[in-house]
Amino acid sequence: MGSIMIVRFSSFLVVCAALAFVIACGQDPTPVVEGNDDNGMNVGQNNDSEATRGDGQSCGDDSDCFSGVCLQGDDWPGGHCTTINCDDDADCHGDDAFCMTNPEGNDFCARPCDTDGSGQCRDGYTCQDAPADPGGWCRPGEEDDPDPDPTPSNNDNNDSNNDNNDSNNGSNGDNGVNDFEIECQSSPGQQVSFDFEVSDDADSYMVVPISEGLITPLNITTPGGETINFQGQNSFQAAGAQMFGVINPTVVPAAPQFDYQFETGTNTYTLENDASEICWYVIESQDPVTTIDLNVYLVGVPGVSPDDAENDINVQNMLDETEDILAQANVEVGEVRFPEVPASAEDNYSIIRSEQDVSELIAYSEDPGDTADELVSANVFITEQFSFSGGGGALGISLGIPGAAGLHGTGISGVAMTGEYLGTAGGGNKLTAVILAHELGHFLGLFHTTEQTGTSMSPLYDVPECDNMSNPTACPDWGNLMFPSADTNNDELHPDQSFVIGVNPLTK
Amino acid sequence: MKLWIVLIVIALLVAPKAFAGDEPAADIDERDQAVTQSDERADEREAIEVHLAHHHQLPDRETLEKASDNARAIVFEIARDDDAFLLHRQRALKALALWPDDEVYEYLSELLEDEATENGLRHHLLPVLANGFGEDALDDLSPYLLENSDPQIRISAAGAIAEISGDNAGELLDEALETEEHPLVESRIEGFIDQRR
Repeated sequence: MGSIMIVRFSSFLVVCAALAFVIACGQDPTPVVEGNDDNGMNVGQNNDSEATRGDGQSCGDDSDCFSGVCLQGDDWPGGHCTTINCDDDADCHGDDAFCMTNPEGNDFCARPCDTDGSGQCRDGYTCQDAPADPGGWCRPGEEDDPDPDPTPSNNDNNDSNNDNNDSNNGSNGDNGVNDFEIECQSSPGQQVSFDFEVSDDADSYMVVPISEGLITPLNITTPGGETINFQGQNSFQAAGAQMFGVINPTVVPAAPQFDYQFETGTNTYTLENDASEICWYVIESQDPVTTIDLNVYLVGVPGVSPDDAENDINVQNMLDETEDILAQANVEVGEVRFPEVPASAEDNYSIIRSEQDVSELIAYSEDPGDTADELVSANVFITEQFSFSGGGGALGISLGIPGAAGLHGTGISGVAMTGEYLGTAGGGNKLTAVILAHELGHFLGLFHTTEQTGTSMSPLYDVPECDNMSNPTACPDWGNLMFPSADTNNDELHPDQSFVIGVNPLTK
Repeated sequence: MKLWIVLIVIALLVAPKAFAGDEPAADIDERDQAVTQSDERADEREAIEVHLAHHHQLPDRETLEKASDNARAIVFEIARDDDAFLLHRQRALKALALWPDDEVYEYLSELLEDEATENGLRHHLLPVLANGFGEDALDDLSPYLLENSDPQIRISAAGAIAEISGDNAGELLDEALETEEHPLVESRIEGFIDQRR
């Protein structure tokens, strides 16, 4: 099995701050607070445009929390939004919070959990029995910590004691690549260069520049003096900046013919930047790669819930079909997790009506675990339906070609697609697998073999293009997974496409 | 007796060929032509279906008409075909709005109102009518915004109506915002109104 080496790890907040300019970021992009309606959905509006965090979630300072209270200090790793002196659950802010009776002091709002389950609480917190209520709560401390002393105190929310610099120290909560280290440097002029190291063990890497302003990638110069020109023959690698403006996930080598562009040692990335700071992170990959891990969020798909997805015949059949497709690239589907989104998010986004909906939904992705191996996994959101208000029609959307590996909890952290053909007659599961594999292909760096206009951005030599799209089934690339039309027959991968999949650090 | 039977058998064997030999050459040509046309039509339908099944966008009218001179008729045929693959039928219904004439409007609006139509399909039909027919569709769309019992349908109707330019659509959304009691729907209507500004 190939290995992934996380060279640098970062704070989610830096990423979030940058991406918030253009895309949704954080767990609750359309925050709703105050009370519950008769369907159990949280309702109301938060007028504080800065607050994004519900009770029980991480925070850097009070302004992050709907409640205006961020508990901090060693007792509250990553910060903990709460509402103190609550009377009942309706007083709590955000999703999945409840008013916990505290025999030792003021009642306060916390995140509930099932003590029989696992993995429900974020880093630094474990599920423990609530002291005077049924069920459990996510309490600070590790499993073997006998008494983490969870009672909020005034010192926990003393702004004068807050070290706001800690909010960017890489230990913030359940969102983002909190183990990744983002490096940043000032960017005084419009053009800026930063150095990054590629270790001798690596066979490929992804470098991800991020800014709070618009960036235009120019080039990477290698230790041996080669230039990867994003304004020339490697212009297809500026797709991320063209799509999102502020981020540009860049895989090297991007195609077999560019193998020579990969060099270990100190490489230099040069770009134009409209902000005063440029940040970046790097993920390396080693051969051979064999698996890709998936975090599959099922959002309102009729007849299947995240709890029973592992036993759902249609979901499993669809995943088997997806694995068959990826097997052509010698990649198998590794661990498949089925995380849940909050009920309010399911109500909001089970039917996707715009690209903004997609971005806001994907922002609900969460770190799948603590380790680098867990973080390097792809988020897939399968919804009840895609039906865009503006007309047109998409079956799926990838947030990046390629997407940013290892980044969770932002509006570009994965792919989203319709699940309305799951279990339908005539090959609905296979079609859904083709849609999933197609979007994953984009997220891993693959372009369409041909666009509907007859042009192509694909840099791959061994994938034929079509010069007469009026008769698409006669095209030489008909049958390829990355043909622009969805069809159960379009499931093939060419060797160069397998190369692209293999060099992306999401395959490991 | 045996000779009699042999003659009958021979007559039966020869007769069909004799009759065939009497078939006019023009009929054969017509039949072959019909078969050819049928094959061409099937090829054209297949091409249209492939275009309709684009991963990320609905094809434009020019693309469909380049694939077939009968593009509108074929799209209509797929849209009416209950046995068509679900994806193709959904996309054909959307593509009908590329030919926004009375016949298309009548078909789509009746399908929207048909009690047998599933809500899943309605989510697709609402924006089709709004984008294809604009203000002319408001009367048929408004009940789905103001009166439908399913909050998700009301949201889809609001989203579709928000795409229609003009004061009437805006006033309809304002009216819905005043009467809407479901917090999620209310919030989404507010969002659609904001996007129009």
